[in-house]
Amino acid sequence: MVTDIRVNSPGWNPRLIMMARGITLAAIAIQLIAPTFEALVSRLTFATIYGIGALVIAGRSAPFVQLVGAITYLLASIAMNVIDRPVADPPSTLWGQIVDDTRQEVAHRIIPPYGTHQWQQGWASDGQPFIYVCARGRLEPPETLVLTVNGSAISALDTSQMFGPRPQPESVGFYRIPVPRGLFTGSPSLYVQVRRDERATLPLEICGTITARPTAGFESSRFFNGTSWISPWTTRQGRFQIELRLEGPGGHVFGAWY
Amino acid sequence: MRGASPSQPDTVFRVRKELTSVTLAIGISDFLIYALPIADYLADWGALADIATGLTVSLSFLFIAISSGFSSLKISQASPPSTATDANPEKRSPGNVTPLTVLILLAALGLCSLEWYLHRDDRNPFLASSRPEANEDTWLTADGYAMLLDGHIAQNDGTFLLPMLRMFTGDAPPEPSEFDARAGHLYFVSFLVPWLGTYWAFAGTNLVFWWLAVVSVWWLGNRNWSEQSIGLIGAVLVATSQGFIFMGTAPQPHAVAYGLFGVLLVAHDLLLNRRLDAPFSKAVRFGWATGSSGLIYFVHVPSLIYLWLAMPLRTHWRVMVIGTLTTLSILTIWQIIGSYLGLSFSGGNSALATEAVANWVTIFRGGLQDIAAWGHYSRPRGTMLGAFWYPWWILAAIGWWKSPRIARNWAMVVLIAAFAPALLFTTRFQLPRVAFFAYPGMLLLASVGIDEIAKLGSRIVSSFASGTAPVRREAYIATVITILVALATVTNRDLITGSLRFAVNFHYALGTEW
Repeated sequence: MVTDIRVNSPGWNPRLIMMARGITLAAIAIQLIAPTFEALVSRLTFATIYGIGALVIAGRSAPFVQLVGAITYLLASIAMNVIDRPVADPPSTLWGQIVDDTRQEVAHRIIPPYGTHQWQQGWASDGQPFIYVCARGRLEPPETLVLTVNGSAISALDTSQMFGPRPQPESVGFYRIPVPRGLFTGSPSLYVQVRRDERATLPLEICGTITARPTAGFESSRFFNGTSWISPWTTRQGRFQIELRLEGPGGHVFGAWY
Repeated sequence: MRGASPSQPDTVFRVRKELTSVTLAIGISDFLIYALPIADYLADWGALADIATGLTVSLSFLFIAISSGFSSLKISQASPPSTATDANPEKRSPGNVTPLTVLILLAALGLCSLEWYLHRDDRNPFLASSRPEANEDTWLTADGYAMLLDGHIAQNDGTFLLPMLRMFTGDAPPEPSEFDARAGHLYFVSFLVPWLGTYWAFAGTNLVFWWLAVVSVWWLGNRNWSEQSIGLIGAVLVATSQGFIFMGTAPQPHAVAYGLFGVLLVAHDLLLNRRLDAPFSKAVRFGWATGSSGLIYFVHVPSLIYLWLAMPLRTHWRVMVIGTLTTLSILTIWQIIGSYLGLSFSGGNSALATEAVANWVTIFRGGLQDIAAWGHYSRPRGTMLGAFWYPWWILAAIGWWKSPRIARNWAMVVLIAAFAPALLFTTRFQLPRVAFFAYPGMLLLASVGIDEIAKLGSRIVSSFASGTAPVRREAYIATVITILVALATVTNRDLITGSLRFAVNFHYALGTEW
């Protein structure tokens, strides 16, 4: 079997072309049933540029392709007006949790991916584990946060641990805190707690973001407001920006998990 | 070989001009190296070779483009219409399709659908290459530059496209953003939102245009080379190419624009690269196609460069002017209407392009020293290699050498049309994603390279075996498949080993490393 695929076939079918043009015009008319004036104007503009444009550009070529294209265009135009599926707002990628009381606490559980090639490669290369905590501004004792991992006090955050760009002094950014490798022997997970320094007098802010690949489930981040625990997953589809990284010499990152 | 008869008229490109251009570029690049100030980055041979290669490649394309312009001015005969790419249009193959061709083409479409699906969500290379383990933007969170779209993790620039999408769906009034000039992309996406939801509407639109790219390259391969295998190999190369894999499920217009560039090359061939009856009407139609594609993302730039280089200037300048004016009219019409709706059309790539030009002015004012240093700081070699890694360049070089003159000229115009804006932009950003617009020319030349190696393989095998036609054919097919699998392994290295190297190269361009 041999098929002639010449687009400008001499055997063009005027009936198909006329049908394609009629259906395209119908599709454009349906698009103009728009809920807002701006939608109407923008749809009319692009229906002219693409819809009418496709007919002008195609001319008498490929009548069957034109017809199939026109029918698809019509169906899509009908769906646009009939199926009500609004474009939802994505959850915020950056938000903050104010900590202004020593009873308050942010907690996050991480399960290091011990069995993965990524972890084993980093660990075998004497990779150094770090906990990254994102907070607003320049934190210096006593106006700072204190990090605890599996019940062991690790460090109070200070400016020497600041990591990444901060265009303004009050910008958010990571604090990079080394944790001993010994924490990982015999410990299936890390329970990271961040509290306000007991001497602090000012409110402090810990960053939160979206969560998609949590190692310990979507409820692994929690905030204790002094009376009860609240999950940012429930309230914001999010988590606190507390992460584990395994890094080699020169800051080479083998992996980052939360 | 189609169009390769010895009695062809003058062409815009000649092999000797290309070789002369490359030789001249090598000489000037070596000279420029000596103009560099003593600096730490010159301490090793790898860095020096990086600068020399970047300058050589860039100057080669520049000189070829200039020589083509001069040659183009000299061609005065009105017929055939396009001596650059079509010396003998009447003798071209009509493009016959056999069941096997259809089967392979469907397999190629299935392959890009598979690549698209496997690289969804957090495995999308655009997103993955921004994660800390890619060791570029290590200050970002563990998910990289990400957003949640309908519960799917996706590249975060998509956030800025949602207001425009809502304008088309009627969910919200227009909000100005730096992506206002790309509204055409959101018009297409808005059709799929009701069916698929926002994430899959973006991804689905990308897939449709990925398919169109596959079909376009297959068609262009059939059009410019006589062997049907070239188009088919090219189709598979597009299906597994770095650029489409990288952009496949990102809520961004790049994959759509790539696909449209292939379609525009087909449109140019059908409208302008034949005997030109009603040339101005066809110029308007091509300009309309280019302008409407430019409302997606950037594709009008390589398309217009192609328009001006692919045909003789002296005889076709009116067509080029009309095509260009139509393109600009389409772009301007949306700008006027969009401004009326409250959009701003400020910032974004337009502002960055202006900055890139300003940087070039500064470089030229700085003299030879600054021009030579551009080869280091702007990473031209890294930009080109980020778009197409070494094996593709080697195969394309073989393909260029073995292709008939007409096809070689066509591919060279495509390469210049895509690489010129990418290289010009390097003073502001290094964007292999812009250089990837060269895929129709690059991958079809690489197809010829694969075809030639497979032919060599079949000859070698047949010298050991019986030498019968079926044995040679099997050896040919086995060699082609082996090379295609090897290349697909490279572009799928992220899935196979977890390495983000090629995704990082495509995202940020290589540095001085080799």
